[in-house]
Amino acid sequence: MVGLDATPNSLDPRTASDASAVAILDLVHRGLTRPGADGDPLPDLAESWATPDPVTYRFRLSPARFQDGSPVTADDVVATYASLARPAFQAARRDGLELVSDVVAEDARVVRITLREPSATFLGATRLAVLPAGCAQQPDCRIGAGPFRLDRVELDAVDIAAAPTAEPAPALPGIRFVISTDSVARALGLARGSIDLVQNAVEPDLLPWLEGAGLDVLSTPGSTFHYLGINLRRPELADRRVRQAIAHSIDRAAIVRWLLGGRARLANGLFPPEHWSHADVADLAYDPARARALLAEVGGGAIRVSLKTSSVELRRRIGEVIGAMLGEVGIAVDVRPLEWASLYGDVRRGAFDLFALAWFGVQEPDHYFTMLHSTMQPPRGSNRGGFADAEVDALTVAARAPIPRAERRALYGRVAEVVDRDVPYVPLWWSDNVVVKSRRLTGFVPSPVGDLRSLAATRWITPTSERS
Amino acid sequence: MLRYAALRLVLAVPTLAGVLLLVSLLLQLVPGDPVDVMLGEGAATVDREQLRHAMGLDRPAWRQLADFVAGAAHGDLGRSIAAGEPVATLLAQRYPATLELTGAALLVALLIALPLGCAAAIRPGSPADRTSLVLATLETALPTFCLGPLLILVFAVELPWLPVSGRDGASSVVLPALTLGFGMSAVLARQLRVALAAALRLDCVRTARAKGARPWRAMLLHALPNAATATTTVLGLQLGGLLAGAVVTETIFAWPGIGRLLVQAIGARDYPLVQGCVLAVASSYVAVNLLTDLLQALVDPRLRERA
Repeated sequence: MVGLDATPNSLDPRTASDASAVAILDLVHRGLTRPGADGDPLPDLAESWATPDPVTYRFRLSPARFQDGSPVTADDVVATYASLARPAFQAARRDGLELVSDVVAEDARVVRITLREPSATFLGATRLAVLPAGCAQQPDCRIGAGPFRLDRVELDAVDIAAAPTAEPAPALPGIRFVISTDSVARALGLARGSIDLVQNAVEPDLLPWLEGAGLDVLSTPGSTFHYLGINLRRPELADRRVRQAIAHSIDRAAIVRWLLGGRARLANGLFPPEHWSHADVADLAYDPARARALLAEVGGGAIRVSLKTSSVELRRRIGEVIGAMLGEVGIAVDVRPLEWASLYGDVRRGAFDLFALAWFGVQEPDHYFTMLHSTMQPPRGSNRGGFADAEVDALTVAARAPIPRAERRALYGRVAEVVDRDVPYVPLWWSDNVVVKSRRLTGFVPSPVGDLRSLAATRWITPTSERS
Repeated sequence: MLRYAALRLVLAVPTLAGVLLLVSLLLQLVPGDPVDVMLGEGAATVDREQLRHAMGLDRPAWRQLADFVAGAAHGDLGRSIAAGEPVATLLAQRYPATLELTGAALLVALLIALPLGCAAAIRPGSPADRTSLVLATLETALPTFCLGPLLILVFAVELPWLPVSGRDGASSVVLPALTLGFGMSAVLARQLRVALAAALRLDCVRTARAKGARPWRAMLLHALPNAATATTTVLGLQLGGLLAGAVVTETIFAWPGIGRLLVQAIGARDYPLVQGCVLAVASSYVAVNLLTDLLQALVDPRLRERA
């Protein structure tokens, strides 16, 4: 029994976008590749791949079967990728696949994908779930090649059962995902034993109590990047020194320690140290004296800004603490908690001074292009603050080309340095993946990228003394 | 009586239209976009525009609402943006859960409020009256988001008698029904006490007592029907509120009712689903109030004559 905090909106991997659906579907489907912690895709259905030239990728499939018993062939891959072009999948997540021009089966086990132009981001996108060719024609395809098959879908509960076709077979006969919408009730469900596992959906405050109640609390360093967005179009925030002052006035270590239970690492950039593109730039350390000095240098009187943040209790509290810390150095902050759609709407419209949000699941440093390139302001991209810097524009474009990794790394390292100097946003922390689980569930290893794939290798131990 | 009911039904139409218009306008005014929420970060602009067009979201807001109303008049509530399923199907899935919870909560409320209200009214200032006041204060002071987890802690975690949350079997309705019914009963008991205290001073009750009826008999047969009018009004309003979805309770207990569906729909800016929910909720409210008034007319002959 796994507790989720929201109802999944779709169970077709091509249209599913919410975290609940993705958590379930990761166990039902397999893609050509799957994301690895260092940002490099790992082999999944494809046992290996080669790139004879920059626009051609040749994937060799490992022997595997779909849950309907049919083998996974190159034709299935072709049909899956072709189905994305159909109008029924207008909502499909094609990011990174826009440049695919041709997908051809060379033989039963080899697929050749041709791109219109070289792309550094394509390989990461091949995590897309591969569906059986016949099923891929239909809008709501639920057959995959993963270790579990979708068994029963009810209102607020989804059952998956071990697929007999899976190699190796999962140890658990099945898993029930239940929707538990209230965070306190989720924790109580764990304490009672009616929920056996919850990932990243328990308030840090409740973790010590759950540990005391006999549950395992596991955490691994995660890559979810929390940051403070800044609107550079606002005259009072246009000066780089004001933004540096904001960064220096936030005591992130205290927030992580007291509000997050220590379950996060202070961030100095988009990607954590284990990621290949991580750049070791100077940390914008907590230094209120320096912040005051910077503000005094700028002059121009008192600064008043608003900080928009999620109305979720923990996020609201973090927002208030950041507001108070900025208040200490003389920046008056009006903290405005908003429900998600309003917050996201305002952020995309540019209707903010400061906002607190997080990026999760980002593995490809090309994300810097969407976040920082001057042409990528919404609605096109995610440069919400309106940052514009000719050097960053050139760097992020140059790094998109399929050049050796060391060169891309150097380019992104330079981007990180500019970000460190100009502070178009303030990096806060990378939050850990926190899993609370029953002691009877053994073998579960929390994933650094936050998926639940490890459930396929998890066992359920039944104590012999259990009451009947 | 029938004419009265028919008139009320006709008057319900502008009420529903007004509610629908107001809610739709307010939702369009707040920031947030259904396509943005659905696609999340990173989807290319082309996809967004295509999707917006496919879902008819590029039409002006008044047009979307007009189309919804035209469809609703033919019994078609449209399709949910986020779930892709017909709104009517989603409502039909959730409404039974709301009805079940409302019924159970009503039962709890009546079981607590009737004895408490009667005992309090029969001897104002007595220990029973004071107890009822303390209980009522406690109930009002304990909001559902506090009472719910407390009940779970006691009856599902410490004493593993009942499920923590979800709707799975008859036992799962107990805790949410207690949470809701407890809060309802406070207002109800106090209202009943006031109405009964007034009714006990009526001539008919004094006559009955003079003829030798015991206090309880005089109260149940003569005072209670007189007190019923005011109490059913309160009850009707409370019940209408419950049918509109007890959002907080439904969230705590992961109860798949209409309230959670509505909140979810608002969160996703799922306009057709919000409109469908509002229509269902407002209709229930109007229907319950109509039924309350009709019930009162049945109980109280004076109202019947006036009508």
